[in-house]
Amino acid sequence: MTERFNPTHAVRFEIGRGRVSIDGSDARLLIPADALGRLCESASDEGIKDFGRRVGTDIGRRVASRLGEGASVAAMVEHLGGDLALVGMGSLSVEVWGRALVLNVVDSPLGKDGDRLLAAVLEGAIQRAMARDAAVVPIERVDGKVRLVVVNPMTASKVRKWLADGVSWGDTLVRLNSQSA
Amino acid sequence: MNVQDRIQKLESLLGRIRTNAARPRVRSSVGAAPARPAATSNDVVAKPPSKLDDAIDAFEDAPARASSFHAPVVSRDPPLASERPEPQPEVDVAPAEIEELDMMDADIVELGEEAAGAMNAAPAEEVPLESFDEPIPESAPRAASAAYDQEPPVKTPPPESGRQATAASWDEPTAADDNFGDDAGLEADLSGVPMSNRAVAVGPTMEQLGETVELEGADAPPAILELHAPEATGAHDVPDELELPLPGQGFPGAYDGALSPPAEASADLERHAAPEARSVDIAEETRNLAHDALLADAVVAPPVASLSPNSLVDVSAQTVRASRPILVQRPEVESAHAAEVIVDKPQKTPETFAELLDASLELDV
Repeated sequence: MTERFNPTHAVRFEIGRGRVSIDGSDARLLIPADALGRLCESASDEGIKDFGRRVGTDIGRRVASRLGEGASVAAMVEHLGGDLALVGMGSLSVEVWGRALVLNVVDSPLGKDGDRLLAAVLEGAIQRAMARDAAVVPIERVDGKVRLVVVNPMTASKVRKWLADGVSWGDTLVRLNSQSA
Repeated sequence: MNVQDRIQKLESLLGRIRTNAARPRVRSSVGAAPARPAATSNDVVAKPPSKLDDAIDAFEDAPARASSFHAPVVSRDPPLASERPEPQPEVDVAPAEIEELDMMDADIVELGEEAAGAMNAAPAEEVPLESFDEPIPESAPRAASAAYDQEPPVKTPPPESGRQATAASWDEPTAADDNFGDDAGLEADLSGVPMSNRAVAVGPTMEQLGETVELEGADAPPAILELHAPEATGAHDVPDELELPLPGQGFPGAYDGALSPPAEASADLERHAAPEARSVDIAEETRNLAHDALLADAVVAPPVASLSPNSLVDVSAQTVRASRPILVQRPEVESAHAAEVIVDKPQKTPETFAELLDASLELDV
């Protein structure tokens, strides 16, 4: 039986040392989200992607330590979402559209400009937790809620192209399911 | 209407009754009937006021009117004195004073006082109609006789001819009935006497009805129906444009029993004539067909000139044997379940996140 996510004493603040950590891992920084957003605006896509995957990899490591290969979807959402919440990047939920896996993140502090960073974090977490090379592409943002579809890297480029051409996120998912049938 | 008014009307009615009773009987078939002056107070002057009950009783006790009395048809316009015929002598009438009250009242209403005075002054003797200078209508009574009442005028005169003598039995209401100046009709006749004192209805005669077709009733002899057979005329020889002649013997569509089967049907006929049923596969059937074809080709009709009655019989038998229908049957099919149901395999719901992730990663365009 999969253990439940327990955030108790997950974050340790060593005031004397001035050190913040999560589950005895390396030190963490508590920084303003808008500052990080401003930094991402001036950074390149590769830089943002690399930065986000590193953050996600740490999250995925902790998830994998608690969950095995056969973890259910609910358990994964519970643990992955819990760790994502511990770092302050919003609340995670999962939607299944046909065969497409769509991740929903609500109240991400990074805003619309931070969706690329958020996607990179999730890519890193999935790759570390599930040992699969996945690409996460934001397809919709409305009222603080962002939808991100999980596809393979080759499909991700086509999805980004469709979105750039004005295809709606629903049609994008339909195309994914119809052309893959 | 209060009681006083009612009493007054009844008293006036009584006065008029007595006045009419004292008046000599005057019969008029053409002219105006003896008119009764309009109800005025003069008629009632000399009469002391009698009891209302007595008047009503006297009125109710009036016997039935004599059947011989003719009710003249009263017109609205009183006839002139020159046109008025002499009053007819009275026929048998009951000596009751009030028996003719109804009709007298009707007559009285129609005429004015002048006419009434003239009528009263007229002699009561009978004056023959022939003494009149003016032409007498046909409907006027010719003579006072016993048969007079039974035979009204031959023809029913038109309304324009004035007053007419009608049949004694006709109880049709006259115009005078509608012109009641008094309230004589207010009192119900409880005496049981028939409303009309005239004779029993005899009915109009055939002459009166004119050209009337008599219809025989149920007691008539049974009608003879014309059930004779229609005469055979030559009209049917001429075909109607809507008629289509039936095809004769030579109609090609009809079945000709003398027609012989085709040459290739002889083999099949022999085969099917056998009592046992045998299954023949297609290959064997094909061989049979080929054999039959050879037989058919081998049958050669002899020249017509050399045909004899016997040879004709032989040729026809060979033709029948060779010409039989080709029958190809389907082979028997073993019993099999022909139905096959294809059910869509339900999509397996990913139980783990890994399966869900793999399914999403497999999406490729």
